Amino acid sequence: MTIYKAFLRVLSRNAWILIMYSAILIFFSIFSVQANDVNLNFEATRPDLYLTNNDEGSELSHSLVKYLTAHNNIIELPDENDALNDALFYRRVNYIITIPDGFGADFLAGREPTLIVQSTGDYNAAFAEMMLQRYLNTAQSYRLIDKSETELVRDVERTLAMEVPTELATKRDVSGLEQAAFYYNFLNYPLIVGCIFMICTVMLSFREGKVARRIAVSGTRPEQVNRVLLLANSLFAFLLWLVYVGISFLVIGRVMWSMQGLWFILNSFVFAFCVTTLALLLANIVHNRNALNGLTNVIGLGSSFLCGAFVPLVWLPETVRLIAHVFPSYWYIDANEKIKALETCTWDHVVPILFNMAIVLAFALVFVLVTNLLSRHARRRAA
Amino acid sequence: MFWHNFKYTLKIILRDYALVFWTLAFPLIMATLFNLAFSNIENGERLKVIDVAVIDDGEWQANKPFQEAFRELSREDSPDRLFDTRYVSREEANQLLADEDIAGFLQLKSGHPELTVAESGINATILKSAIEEIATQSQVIREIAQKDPTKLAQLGTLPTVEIEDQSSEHLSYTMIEYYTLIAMTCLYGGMIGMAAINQLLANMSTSGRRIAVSPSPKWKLIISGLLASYLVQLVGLALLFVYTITILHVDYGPHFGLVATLSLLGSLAGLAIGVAVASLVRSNANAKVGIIIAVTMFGCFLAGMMGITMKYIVDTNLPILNRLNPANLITDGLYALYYYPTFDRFWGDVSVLTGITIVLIGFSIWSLRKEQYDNL
Repeated sequence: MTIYKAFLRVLSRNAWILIMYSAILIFFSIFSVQANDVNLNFEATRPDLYLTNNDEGSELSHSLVKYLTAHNNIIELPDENDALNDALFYRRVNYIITIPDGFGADFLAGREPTLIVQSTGDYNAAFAEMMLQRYLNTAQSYRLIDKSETELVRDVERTLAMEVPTELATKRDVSGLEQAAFYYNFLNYPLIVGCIFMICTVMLSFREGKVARRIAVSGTRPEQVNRVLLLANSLFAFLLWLVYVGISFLVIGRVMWSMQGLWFILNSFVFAFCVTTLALLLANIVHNRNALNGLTNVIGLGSSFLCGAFVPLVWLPETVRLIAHVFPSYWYIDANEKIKALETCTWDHVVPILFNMAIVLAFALVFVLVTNLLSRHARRRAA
Repeated sequence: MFWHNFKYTLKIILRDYALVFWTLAFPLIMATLFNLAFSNIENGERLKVIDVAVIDDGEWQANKPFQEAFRELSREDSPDRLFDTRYVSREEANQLLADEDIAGFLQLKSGHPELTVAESGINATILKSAIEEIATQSQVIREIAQKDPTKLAQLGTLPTVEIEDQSSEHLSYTMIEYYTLIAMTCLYGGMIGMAAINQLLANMSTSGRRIAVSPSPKWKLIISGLLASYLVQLVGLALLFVYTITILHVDYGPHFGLVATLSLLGSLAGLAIGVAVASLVRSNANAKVGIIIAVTMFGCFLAGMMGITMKYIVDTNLPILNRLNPANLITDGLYALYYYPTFDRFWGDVSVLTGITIVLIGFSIWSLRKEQYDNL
């Protein structure tokens, strides 16, 4: 009991670390991916657009604005150069269109008017430009046969209102699963930092100076102390995992009650086990508190950056993805991505996920074996 | 006395391995990770050729406009290529969709296009939009043919609307990550300045007590200690620049002189924060380090280190917070040099940062000057 009490004292003294990393996890999972309502109908992507119409009197310019407003998210910004430039750089808007005065009249007269645009160059901006081109092309064609501006605008709007019926093959809650995968991928970071930092700090506290000497002269056998510490550390890791799973239910909600949600939980449990074994291994290696801080950050940030916890795996360069294979985090995050795409729970679909989990367990096994080897070596040396 | 203290402060700093790690090595590790993780992220957001399928049945074979349009949109040598199209049966298309090999497939039914997509998203949206465009153009051609067939020949020679793209070439937002890293390096330097001051303070160390009772002029010791700290800070900063420029090939733009100037000033601001925390906060060394790390990391967070959106949110909703945040002033100054053709914003950031540095140094001098002990 004394050991448990000491364990809890060390934990509570460092609890702020856990609170800080949990806050980061919650913050990012709430603000980075916003889950929409479950929608089993197709929903078109809407680029963020800023529009200035300096050609207020023209029916055509007005119609162009109406069309773009219907298919884009129109963003309100102060009409100042710096505000617009900043919004573009920080991707608040994907595309900025300025319709100059006299645009409609020039267009109808067959001159070649100019539209001023600014673009982030990403796919949303490309799509916004496609829509702009589509309107202009259609209007150009109708200009050949339509006599008046009103007639032209009416024909363009009628033709552009035509929609292709679109069926959605998936019955998954795509945006909910996206958010869940983001949360569980990001979990790699707080779980690694929390487990390694806490477990190593506790182990160091029991090994350092007076505490170690007091334990040595106490009636409790060292094996028993180690057993209790192992149990307490495992319990701590389990509770930490449980808290994070609990938070995922609060933050993500409905998708966590689905079949995919269960897989996310199972996968994270296997990973939490692996991280615990890694933390116990490091506790055997690290004997310096200052080094521990650096090591925790390097392992936590390194594995998170390289294995897709912060940046989606598909966006990482090929070589980085190849290097990432040597970290258990990669297999854990890759499994999350497979769970995200899991349509049905058939054997064929779950085998790849189970394979990833098996590899994570294999890493855990290696960590346990190395830990045992190291402690045996240390005992022999002490003897 | 000046150089003696300078030399020993240098030794003390360089032998504190934790300090060396956080101020010299950690920024390099972070730069490497940023480079590995972000080098492809902006390419990932560009429009790529989309894998699609078409149900190649009798209807498709009979519809020339759609065939031609898809051939054109899938042409490998075209710079405007949108699709990589496979012509398959319905069963094959379903399988390709289930295997996530295609974004969606098109089937013509009674002359009308019908689309099946894997899930909502940009690729499916572009596929739908392109099909609607083809259908729209076919409709327009039909109407022109009905109303005035002589105009059909003019379709290919219509005057175009010029779309003039006035976007800046410098739109790489991952640069902000490197700028926040420079800001972090500058401000982490505060830990070095703090270490130098701590060893001179009588309530922090035994050497401080000995110095307090010695006849050496305090200003000489403080200045030489801070000079040694600043030197180590600049070495760290130089290492970061050399590493990011030569190994990671980060381009700091054409105004490197100004980039370096702002970084030197930023380091001074970091030093000022360190000295202010060391002299104004009455606590142990660990608590003081904690304050510097917390101030730096929270400042970098608001400046966009963990996601550039945060900087934009604070800049637009609570600008005063970022106007007083040294990490943001450094980041924003570098951003202004990178993105804006004029220097107004840059000099604005430099002025505020200089002001903050002077105020902090002023407070520190005031605090250190009145330092007197009856006993320790």
